[in-house]
Amino acid sequence: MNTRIRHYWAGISCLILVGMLCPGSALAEEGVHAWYLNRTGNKIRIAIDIKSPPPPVVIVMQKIPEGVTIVSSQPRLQKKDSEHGEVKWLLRNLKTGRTEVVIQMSREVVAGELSGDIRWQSSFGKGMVRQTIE
Amino acid sequence: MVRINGARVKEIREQQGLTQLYVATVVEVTTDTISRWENRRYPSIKRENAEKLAQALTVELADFLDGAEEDLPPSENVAPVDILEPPPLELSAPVRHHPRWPLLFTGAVVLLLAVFLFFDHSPRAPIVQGFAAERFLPAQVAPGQLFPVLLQVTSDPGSDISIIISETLPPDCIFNISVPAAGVYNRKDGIIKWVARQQGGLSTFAYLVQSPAEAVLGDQLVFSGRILPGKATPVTVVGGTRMTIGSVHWADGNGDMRIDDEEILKVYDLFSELPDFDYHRDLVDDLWAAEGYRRDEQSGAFIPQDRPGVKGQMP
Repeated sequence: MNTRIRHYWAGISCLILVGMLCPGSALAEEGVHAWYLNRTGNKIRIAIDIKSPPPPVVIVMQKIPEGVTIVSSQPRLQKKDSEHGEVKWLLRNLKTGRTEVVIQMSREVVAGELSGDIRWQSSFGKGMVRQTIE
Repeated sequence: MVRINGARVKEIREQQGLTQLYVATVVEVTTDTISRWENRRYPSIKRENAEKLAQALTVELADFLDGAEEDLPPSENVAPVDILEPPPLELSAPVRHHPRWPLLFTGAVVLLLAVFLFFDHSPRAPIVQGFAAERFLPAQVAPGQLFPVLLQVTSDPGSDISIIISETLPPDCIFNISVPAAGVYNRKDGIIKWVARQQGGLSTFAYLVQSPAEAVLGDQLVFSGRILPGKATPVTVVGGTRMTIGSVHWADGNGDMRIDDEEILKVYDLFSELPDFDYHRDLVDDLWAAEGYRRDEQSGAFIPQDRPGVKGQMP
């Protein structure tokens, strides 16, 4: 076996080792990532980064602070649960890249008042994945 | 050998809306052979092929035999037109040889295999003879409701073969639509068939069925199906075979009269490969948005119903 072939084998062995050490969920759950572009004011923007392949649908859940109502949103709000103080969007036809949810609130919110998560179906057969909006 | 009535074969095939390709695939001959059989008045063909032809046409053999001429020995006067050329059903994928890099190639295969085995935890139907087929059924369905059924056919990478997928519906269920379009639907026997070329990996088939309107709560609907991979032994479709008649929407997996996030994500995930398959997705969306629903006993329709404090489709 010449030196070049030995180098290839070494490289492949390293890749296998990295693959074995990396948890499967880490790869699966990094397909979608969401964060607040701003956490204060009365216009809140949530960025959602979609990696390839995009899931067929993502649910965005946003907790609404006490005493706040949603004036409008883009895209259109699809579900409002006053009992739990939650609103939800069902994002379909997703493409790889960044998408945004923009929420116009009835009053300004301050840092720490906002929380929410995104939910999608694991492509690794693990059911629904939840990830906090950072 | 038996003598068949070519014109009758053509007539039956056209009545059933079958293509020559479909019939050729079932009988395992070429479309040219089917064309020759149909266009000669009384061709003699092998009995085995005649029986397969009857199976493809979903009729009895006697329906197209030329009566008293059955079981003819091959003779010089009756030129056999059953060309036994092998049909192009099983094509081997071209294999590239890389004599200069055998170790690299082997290493890459080992790497892919290791990664695949390590990361792929999703349950799959067992692969038999290079094929596996799995059915996904809702747990419950209301009487007279349309519901989707999904079939996933998996084959070994590199395989390339024509297959027939045959599904048998429970009694009194009515087939509605399918994606891709089915080649055959025999309403009397409740049999749906597709012909497809399976080129390794995963293929998805879906169809919409209406449950029996007269069914009563607790009745069981039983599905069965098989894959006919060329000349190989048929493979049984595994997975969901049984569902129960209830009073809930088919997407409401746990029957709690609401479609929650997990349920709607599962529905979207199942049918994501088939964007043209109309399983009445808008209704599923509306039921999810409303948090709850009720079933109108008169019309059988599912009506979104908000709980106190829950409002869908706002603002």
